[in-house]
Amino acid sequence: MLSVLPQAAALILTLQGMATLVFGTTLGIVLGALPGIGSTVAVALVLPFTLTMEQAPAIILLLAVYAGSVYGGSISAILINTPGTPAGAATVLDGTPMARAGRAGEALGWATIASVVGGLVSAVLLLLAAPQLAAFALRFGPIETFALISLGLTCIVTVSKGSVVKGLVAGALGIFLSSVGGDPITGEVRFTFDQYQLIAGFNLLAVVIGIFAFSEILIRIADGPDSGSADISFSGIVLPKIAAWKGRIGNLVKSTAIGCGVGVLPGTGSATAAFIAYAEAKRSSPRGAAFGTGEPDGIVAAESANNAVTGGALVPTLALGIPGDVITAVMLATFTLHGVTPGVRLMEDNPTLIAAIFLGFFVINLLLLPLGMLVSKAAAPLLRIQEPLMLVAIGLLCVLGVYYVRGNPFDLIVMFAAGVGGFFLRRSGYPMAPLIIGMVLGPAFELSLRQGLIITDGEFGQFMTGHPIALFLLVLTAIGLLWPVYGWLRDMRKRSATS
Amino acid sequence: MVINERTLVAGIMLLVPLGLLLIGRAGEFSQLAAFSPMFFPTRVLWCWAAVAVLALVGELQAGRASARAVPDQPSGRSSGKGLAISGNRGTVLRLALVIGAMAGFVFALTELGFLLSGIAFALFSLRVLGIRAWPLWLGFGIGVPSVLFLLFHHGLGLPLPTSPFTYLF
Repeated sequence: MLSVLPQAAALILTLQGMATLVFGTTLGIVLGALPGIGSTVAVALVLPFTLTMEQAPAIILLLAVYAGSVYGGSISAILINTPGTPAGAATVLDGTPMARAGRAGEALGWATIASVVGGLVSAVLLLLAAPQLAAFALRFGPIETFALISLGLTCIVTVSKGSVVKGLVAGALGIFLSSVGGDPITGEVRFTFDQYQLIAGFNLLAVVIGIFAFSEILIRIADGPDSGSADISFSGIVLPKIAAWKGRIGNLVKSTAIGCGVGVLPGTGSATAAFIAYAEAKRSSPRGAAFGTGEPDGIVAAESANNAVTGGALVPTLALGIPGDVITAVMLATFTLHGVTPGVRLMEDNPTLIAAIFLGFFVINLLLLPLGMLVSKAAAPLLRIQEPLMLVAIGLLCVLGVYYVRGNPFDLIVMFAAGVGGFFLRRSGYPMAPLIIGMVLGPAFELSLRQGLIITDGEFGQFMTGHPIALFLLVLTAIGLLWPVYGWLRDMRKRSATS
Repeated sequence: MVINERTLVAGIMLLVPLGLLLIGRAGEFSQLAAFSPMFFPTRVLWCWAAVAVLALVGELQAGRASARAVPDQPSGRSSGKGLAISGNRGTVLRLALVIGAMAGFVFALTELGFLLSGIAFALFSLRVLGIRAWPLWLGFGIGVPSVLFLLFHHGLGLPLPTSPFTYLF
């Protein structure tokens, strides 16, 4: 990895590369700050416009939007009591009371420093851990790859928000959608119903934009108008003095470690990390009693943890092709759309690109400090934008983004159907991350399974004999699948007993 | 049996894989085993149907428990947690109109071009979503699609569909 760093630096540390990073981070902060947009919608909206760019700048731009939007979520969380991203929900608890007490600039100062530290530490973790994991995964053949993807799919489904069973339904739907079109081994078309547009399968971009951006418009209309929030005066970020950090460094380090650790686990996400770190800080801080009333320790815990997730979640994504959360699932979809095949060979086959991502990620986190200070002040008036205006703008961008990539009207129909379908599924409690992960990992899942069956002459039992790594991963998969089913049965029994 | 939006969605999520299994051509390739193009999708559909049964049973149980907890609730009305559409029939109408507007936008795009269909979508949706101040309504509804069209079609040279009247928009 170190040997290709100069080539990666040549991609990043140029005027164009730096402009891409600054633009992406700024855009991410602004989009993340807008309530309801969030990291996933932000990346989904920007994604189509990167498809005409070269591979490395496009992926780095999206990475900048991702990291910027996670930080941007803290701006609306603190200033208008509405987290722009789910990751910002824990920041609200102490950020808003501080802002209401006239200390909005100070609250954002704590959030900015904590975000930068969390992001930088996770970038180092990414650089150190991902290549080791990827080197180990290179020993994998089709059978181990199949077992790994099975485990990844199971982990993601079982830790999905909402019902596990519904997560499995969504995951199965995603895998099925990925199998529509040409068979990877025989070339025979499947489930196209004589629609020639489906021979190449469903356009992943159209599905991503449909279920995350278009369905978001519908969800927000169904939820009714925003209840509004107190108008808080804000005249810029005030960075905390060094002396103010006394007694808080331990909290910062611990919360960052929690964020990195949680981020590496597939499917957990930054909101979970932020709340775990917040709860731990409240338990261990000498100022724990003041949590919820505007205590900076709460902001530091939540923000350092949720930004540390960004690098942590990229470790399994880049090393194994298993996304850490919904946003890294969209990032994997981005890789696919840019012609990079996700999986265990990702780092081996694209060393310069991956090194550029590591380097770019580090620079993005450094940029969060100056850009956060500049953009938060400029973006504050945008937080008061009326929701209908934002929803209509998102609708226009959905259509523009899907159409201009391939100029294919059929993709618009797919986006529309995915949006309406996604709306009903989301309202009924079906998590959408497993669907996208199923669509992204489905082709590799199918290919590795069928290659494995061909190697073993159709004997699935042989997947477990003579393949100890596969056996271990499949046992974990079985536990991951059976555990929630056991919980589901227990709940049903309890419910029957109560009624 | 309590039928609400959740049970309906769970039912559809069960019927879809079963329907696909029925009309699929798995039988044609049954001799090919793992080489069969239908080998993988068929197994995925069976798994999907199996977990969809569990989801449906869960929804029916939850619906029954919820109906018992709220005895006055008229049968057939949404009663599951997090289901109620905020507000009333007006919200449902707004939702239907915006879905219709998006469908119109998607289908009119290639006929009327991005600009005209985009302006129509924006003006209609803004009005449906409650924007009443006409300068804002007209300014945003015409301004945003125009800026996007100018930027992408003329500025960046990325061709978007134009109207039958002129190649300029």
